[in-house]
Amino acid sequence: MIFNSDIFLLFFSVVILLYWLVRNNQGHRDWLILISSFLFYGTWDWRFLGLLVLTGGIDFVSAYKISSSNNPAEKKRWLMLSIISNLGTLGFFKYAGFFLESTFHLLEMLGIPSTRPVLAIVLPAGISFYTFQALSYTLDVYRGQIKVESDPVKYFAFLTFFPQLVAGPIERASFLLPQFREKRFINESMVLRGVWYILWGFFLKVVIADYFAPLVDMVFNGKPLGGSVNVLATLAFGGQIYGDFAGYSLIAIGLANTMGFELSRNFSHPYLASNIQEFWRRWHQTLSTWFRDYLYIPLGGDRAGALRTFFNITVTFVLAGLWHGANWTFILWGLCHGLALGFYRLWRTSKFSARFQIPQIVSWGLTMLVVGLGWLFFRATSVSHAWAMIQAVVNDQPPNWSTDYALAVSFGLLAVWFYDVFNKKFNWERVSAWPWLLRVFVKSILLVFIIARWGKEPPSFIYFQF
Amino acid sequence: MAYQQHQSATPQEVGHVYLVNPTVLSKQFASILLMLLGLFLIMWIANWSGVMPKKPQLGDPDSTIISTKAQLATTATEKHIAFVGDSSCLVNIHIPTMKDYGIDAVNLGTLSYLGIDSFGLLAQRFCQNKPDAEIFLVLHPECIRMVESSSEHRLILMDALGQTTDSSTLFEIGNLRKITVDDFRSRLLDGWLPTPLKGRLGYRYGFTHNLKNELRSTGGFMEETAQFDASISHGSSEYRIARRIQSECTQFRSYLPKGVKVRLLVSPIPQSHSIRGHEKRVLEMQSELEKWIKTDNSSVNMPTVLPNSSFGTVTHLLPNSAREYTRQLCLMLTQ
Repeated sequence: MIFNSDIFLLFFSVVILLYWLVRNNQGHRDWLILISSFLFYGTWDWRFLGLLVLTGGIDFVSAYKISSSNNPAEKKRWLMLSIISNLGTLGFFKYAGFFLESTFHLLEMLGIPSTRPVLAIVLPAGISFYTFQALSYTLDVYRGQIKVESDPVKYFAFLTFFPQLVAGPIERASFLLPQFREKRFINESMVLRGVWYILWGFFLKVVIADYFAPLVDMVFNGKPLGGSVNVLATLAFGGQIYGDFAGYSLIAIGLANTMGFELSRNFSHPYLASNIQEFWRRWHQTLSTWFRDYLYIPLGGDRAGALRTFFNITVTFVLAGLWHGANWTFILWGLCHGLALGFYRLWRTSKFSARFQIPQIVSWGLTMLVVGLGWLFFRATSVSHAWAMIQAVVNDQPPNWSTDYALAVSFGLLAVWFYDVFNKKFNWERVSAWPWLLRVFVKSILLVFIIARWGKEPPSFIYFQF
Repeated sequence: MAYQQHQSATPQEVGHVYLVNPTVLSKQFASILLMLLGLFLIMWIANWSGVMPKKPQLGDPDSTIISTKAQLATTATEKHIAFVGDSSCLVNIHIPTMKDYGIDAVNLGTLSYLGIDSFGLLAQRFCQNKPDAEIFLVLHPECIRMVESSSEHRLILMDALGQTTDSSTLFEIGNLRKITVDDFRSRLLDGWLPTPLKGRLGYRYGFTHNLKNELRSTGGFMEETAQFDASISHGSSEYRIARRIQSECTQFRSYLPKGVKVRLLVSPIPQSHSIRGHEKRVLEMQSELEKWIKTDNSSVNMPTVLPNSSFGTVTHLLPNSAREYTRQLCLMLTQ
């Protein structure tokens, strides 16, 4: 069940109606959230519900044992159990095939005879998201940053909260779990804000991302074409993934708002960032802060000299790339961003940066160049495919439809730019002060576009595969 | 008010409290609904009064192919030979090669889903005011054994030929979505921008209007871009005539004016697909079909099996092979 489907709209309407009915009982509310989240998740593959309950259950028990024990060694043992359970599950389902295949290729290169591994493991939906959310819970309990949750229903309602279960935002227990412990107040502003976010989320997904999808596929799903179309297709993919993922996040936040919950912001107009550090403060914020808090800082962060910082950044980004998927293309994507951020930090802390002020437009251009190169690796089917596409830009003739392609991509990018500029200028705080009729008018326009582009067979969200 | 009510309840038990004024929310949502209805009313009036831009006959690849072929059938007034049939006709009959041999023809091949009777509609349009026209019906064995044709595709063709039999009116509820949402999408939104083609066609032709232009400039020929792989192309090679074919063939013939010559051509299959006696089977099927179509006993006997390397798919020849196949056909026709 995906957000941009008729069945989800029906599902959510029923949930919101029942939600109103159970308003007087927190226990019933938590059960309703839990059951609807399980139903929502079960529509993908009900068999993986068991896995979700198992790994979530291990984390629940581990956190409880960590908080109730006074023995540091025992606390550590329970923490290790939680880490192994989460990363082990993730490793098996997501990376086993990749590592076996890579080992086979390595042995083949070394001339050592081996049998090609055949592994066909189905990836549970949203596994990378919910394992990271669960990990942050046990880690925060271990660090003493949050109180352990003793009610399994509340805990699982937090872990599987359906608006953000399969593609984030990756919530911290310190932010979301307390919301389940208290009564929620749902006022008009919250409902209207939720609806505003849902509409813009659907606009991003249905109007922008789904518009770009066939344009991207026609170039990336075949032999590399020549000339500018490869560059344009990469830009189009940048627009598609932004519309797709930021759209999903906004819908998730909006849905949660209508139920009285707050979720973390995941995107803040990343393509308006004028340097790579700013880009990462605006793109997939909940993942980047997760890696910052649980990997980069424990590795030493920026406390041990410039070179060590450079190393820490690069390692963090390579692992962030691997988090997205078991493919060398994602590792290269991470490496590309890690090196860019590492060099940016070196530059910023050097004496030259004070002397040579880079104009903002140049800085923005360089940032988008790195981001674009990253997207090329991210979308390509393999590293050799990405390399062939880069070579084809210079060596091959563009197809005879490249002018139309440029027009179509430019129009989509214009829509992305409009979205970013409009929403940066008119955030909800400002919009809520508008005359209500103006708000209604904008909502209606959005709705018309969404209805017109609403498909009978809606394409899924890109991040569901992660 | 709601908050005060909650204060009197047991605070620990309460899940959530609605601090909303139902009137305010209702006003907001009702206004959105009204505004939407207003916009759709404008669409409806624009549609009814004819102010709306003409619906572009472009969209998905199937519609593009069918509508372009309908146009070609209408505009090819100076030509006297037409090839109609399924997609094997569309990609196997290379019109520029025919021109080299002095044969001035048009390729009206479309898709097997249309059904043989619908090919007759295209042929009928082509034959208007041409009592001496010659029609080649090109069918692939896969098409002949296909159980069902698609009424949806037939409707696209009827629409493109201006023969829509849709009797619903603008005032019918069932038509509301079409004249509001669908028309907004097709006439206003999509009409402004190039529509990308999906899959292999997109890779080769890019956008619907490029495909349309190329179809026009090549006399209706379309290139196959896939490469046939026998190892992954399975399926039964025992060809037979599906039940529907007889009535469709009779219908096909009934659309054509008397005096118009019809000839039948069965397209080749890849070597790896052929079983013993395939050629004999094709001859048998051909003879049955000719009976129903009432051909002029002058069927074209072209090779029924070709090497796998000539094919893009089981039914489609690669462009170079299509040229060679057409060359052979021309030699046969000019002998």
